[in-house]
Amino acid sequence: MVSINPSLILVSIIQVIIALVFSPLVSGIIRKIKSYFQSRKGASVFQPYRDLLKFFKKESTISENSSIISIFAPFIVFASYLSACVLFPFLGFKNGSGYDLITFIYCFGVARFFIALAGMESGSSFGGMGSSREMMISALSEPVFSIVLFALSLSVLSYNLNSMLSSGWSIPGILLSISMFIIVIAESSRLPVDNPDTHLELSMVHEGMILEYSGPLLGIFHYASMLKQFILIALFVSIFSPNIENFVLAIFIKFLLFLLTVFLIAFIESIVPKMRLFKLPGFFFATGILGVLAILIYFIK
Amino acid sequence: MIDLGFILFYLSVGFYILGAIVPLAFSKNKTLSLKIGSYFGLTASALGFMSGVFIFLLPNPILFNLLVIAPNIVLQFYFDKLCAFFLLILSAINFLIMIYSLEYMKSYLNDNIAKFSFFYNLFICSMSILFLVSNSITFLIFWELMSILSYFLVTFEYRHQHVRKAGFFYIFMTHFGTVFIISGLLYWGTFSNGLSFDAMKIAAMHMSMFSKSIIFLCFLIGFGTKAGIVPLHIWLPMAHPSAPSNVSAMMSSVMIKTAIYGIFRFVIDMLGVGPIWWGSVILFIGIASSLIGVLYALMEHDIKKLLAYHSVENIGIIFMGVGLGAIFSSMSLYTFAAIAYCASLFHVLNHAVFKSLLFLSAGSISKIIGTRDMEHYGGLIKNMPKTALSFLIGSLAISAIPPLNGFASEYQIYISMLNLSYFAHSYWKLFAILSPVALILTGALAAACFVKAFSVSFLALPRSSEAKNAKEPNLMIILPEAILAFSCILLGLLASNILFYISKILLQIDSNFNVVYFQTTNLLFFIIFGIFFSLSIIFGKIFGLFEIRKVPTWGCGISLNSKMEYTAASFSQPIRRTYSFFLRPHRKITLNPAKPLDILFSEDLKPPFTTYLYSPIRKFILNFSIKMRFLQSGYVHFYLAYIFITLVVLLLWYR
Repeated sequence: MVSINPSLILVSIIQVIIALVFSPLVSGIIRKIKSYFQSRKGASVFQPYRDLLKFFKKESTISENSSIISIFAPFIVFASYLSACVLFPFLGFKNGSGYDLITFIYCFGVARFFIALAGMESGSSFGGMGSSREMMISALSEPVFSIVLFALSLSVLSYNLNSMLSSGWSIPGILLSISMFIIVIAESSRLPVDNPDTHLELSMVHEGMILEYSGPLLGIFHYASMLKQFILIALFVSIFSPNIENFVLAIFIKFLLFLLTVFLIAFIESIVPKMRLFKLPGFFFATGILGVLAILIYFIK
Repeated sequence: MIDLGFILFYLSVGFYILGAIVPLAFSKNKTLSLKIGSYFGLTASALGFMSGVFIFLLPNPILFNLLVIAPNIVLQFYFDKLCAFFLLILSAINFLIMIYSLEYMKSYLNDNIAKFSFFYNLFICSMSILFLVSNSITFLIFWELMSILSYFLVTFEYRHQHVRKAGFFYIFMTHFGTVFIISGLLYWGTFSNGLSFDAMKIAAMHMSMFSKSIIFLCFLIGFGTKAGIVPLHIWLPMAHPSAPSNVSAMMSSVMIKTAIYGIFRFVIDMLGVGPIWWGSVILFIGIASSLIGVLYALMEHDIKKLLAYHSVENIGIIFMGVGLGAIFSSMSLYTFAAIAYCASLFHVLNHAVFKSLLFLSAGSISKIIGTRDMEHYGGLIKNMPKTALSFLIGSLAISAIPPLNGFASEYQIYISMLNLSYFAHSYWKLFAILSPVALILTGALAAACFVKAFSVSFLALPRSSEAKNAKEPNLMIILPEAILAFSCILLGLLASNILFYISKILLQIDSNFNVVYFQTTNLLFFIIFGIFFSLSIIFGKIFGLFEIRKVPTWGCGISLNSKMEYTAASFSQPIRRTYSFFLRPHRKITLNPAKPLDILFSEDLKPPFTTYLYSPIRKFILNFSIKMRFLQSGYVHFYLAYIFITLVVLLLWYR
């Protein structure tokens, strides 16, 4: 049964607003840091907002081979990431239920299903290639993601995301944080798994699927992937941050950790090359083994 | 009230038998016999459904002796909620399939339709009696009837050789399973007086754990063969595609669930709680089945074979629930056990709904295009939007996408697995935590598979002229699909209510199985997602995002044609390569020197079960038979001598 709790609704609305407002900024900061590493000045951190505005001013065109699915896919993807925003308390309000782990994981599944369908719509090989690779990578990264989250849920004996907040602040949590960090990178389609900046057919996964879009619909897709990145980093931070009672201080610490994570993502992206597609299984397998090791350290006494 | 349920059930059986026999009288007039058979079947399923409702509402189970078939063998019915649940699924699905058949079987008017009606209605009839009988011998009789009648349905198009081969394989495998069921039941019967279920249940209380384990293993192999667990699954992808689509829908959605019914009835209800390794074995088999089933499904291009492999996967998920429940029962955590059992029963229902939906829509497509190979489909969403929508909903449900029903039951299984990991000890914690990870992997691969199936069949450009000129089938085909698609959504949203009713079934089996509260998340997700989706759509309307210009796809300067699209084979290629250690793909490239542009490329899989398990056994049996041939000399004297020797040995033995 769905219980409606007014304060919970308020918290959800605040979370959604924060995610919507700040997710392009995160992308902008990452780009800025990357440009410093490449000895460039780089665009302003507010550039993603301008890009989104530009997209929304343009005309929408889609492929003539596509059907109604192409038109609705951006909205479905966007709505499922927003649902993921609501389904976990990254601000750390520890009341209310319904924050459960499995639904949160499957929010990404909904988005992935439809974005892959949209990629297959156009009839060109690029979209199909993107979809097929996306599904392959998801079959590799989802299990690893779930190993980490299940290990954490096992350490607190609950599959409620509320009680899992700050559960990674422990010795085995270090191992888990490494694998979780790799998953954050992989799922937000960054190097070494996917390249967010190119449209070269050999190196694109996420960009390949939305190649045929333009204008507002493409804008929604870009916004959605920024949202996804924001949610993943927020999840990472809220799980692996220390548990502090004082609310304001906790938010502040989380904010600092968030910035640190963003810096790390940009740094990693600047120093690693893109990995070959068929090197990925081994890469993810190693990441998963880290999670398994952490479980062993936790519980085998 | 009580009488009404029984009377309706007998009436429905009578109508099934009428629906089997009356069309034979009209077999000259094909359309008429088809109509008669289908309408009788419709009536019978409606009656069966109503009787199922009445039986489900009975407060206590009722034993009802009908007639004595032979000394000590009574045809007795036992009406309880478990029977009623399966009877309800069977009747509901059959009702819709009968509507579908009315139109679909018209393409078989050159064949003997009356024969089809005869076998089909008797097949359903034997299944519905099978769920209610309460005596081992009668159970076996109807089990065997069900197997043989379904064999005739599988080989309905017996003129094709591959169909005959599939039929032979099917009947061989199903009898292989039946042997184990018979041995289990008879061994059990040696402990009890009589073979009625009550007597056996009482006997099970005083059996040693060793005998119980032998019986359990017999049932696991026997019912597992019928269910199609790995490695006994190989008849499924052969038999299901060979049958007409309405039959494959029936087989996939209900017939393989008779095995689940058998496991629930014999193992959980009658055999009682066993040691912890029973549950672990079932859980392990479930995980293996689901992973292997979905991997093979990904490699298939034949749409019905793909769906058959997905049956293997979903049976694996159902087995996971059963195994978890058994483990929890062994640990005496009855509430958690009940949640896991409910999850698996709920998945039985859900799988029946979405699998029949997928089979029906796949059947209508393959009938229209004239092939089951997905590489000839494409672009069907433009001409067949309704079929496409129902197939999409089925795909979403089977890929466990919230808020549909597939997610609702898998969610309960996830919760059970996580609960198991909280209660397990030391190293078992690790295995318990890896089982939901395996389920997540299964879900991801299933989603990949259905993205492939849906997009290759329905999206982009048509790959053949038949696909280009496809027409939407008429209302009688669309209607059952639409109802099933609607129930997919409804079952997902009403998950907590359905689970509440299902928990009543388990409460009747054992009063310990008491679930107070199910945590479901579908409705919550639906509300949240719905709010955001409608908000974004409204936003899109206001800002004019739906004013879209359609332009040709950029094909790098060349005009696109359907040969340049991504095919099903290329879609699954990365996954084939990722799991190549298991799938063993090997490529064949043949070049024709006379025609430089004539290159044939094929990539086949090496199926490990047939290569490493079935072929050696087959070879061994054949060689052994050839060696033993000398016994069959053909002279009567020798046979008399055999009889004489046997007699002497037996006399000495039982002196």
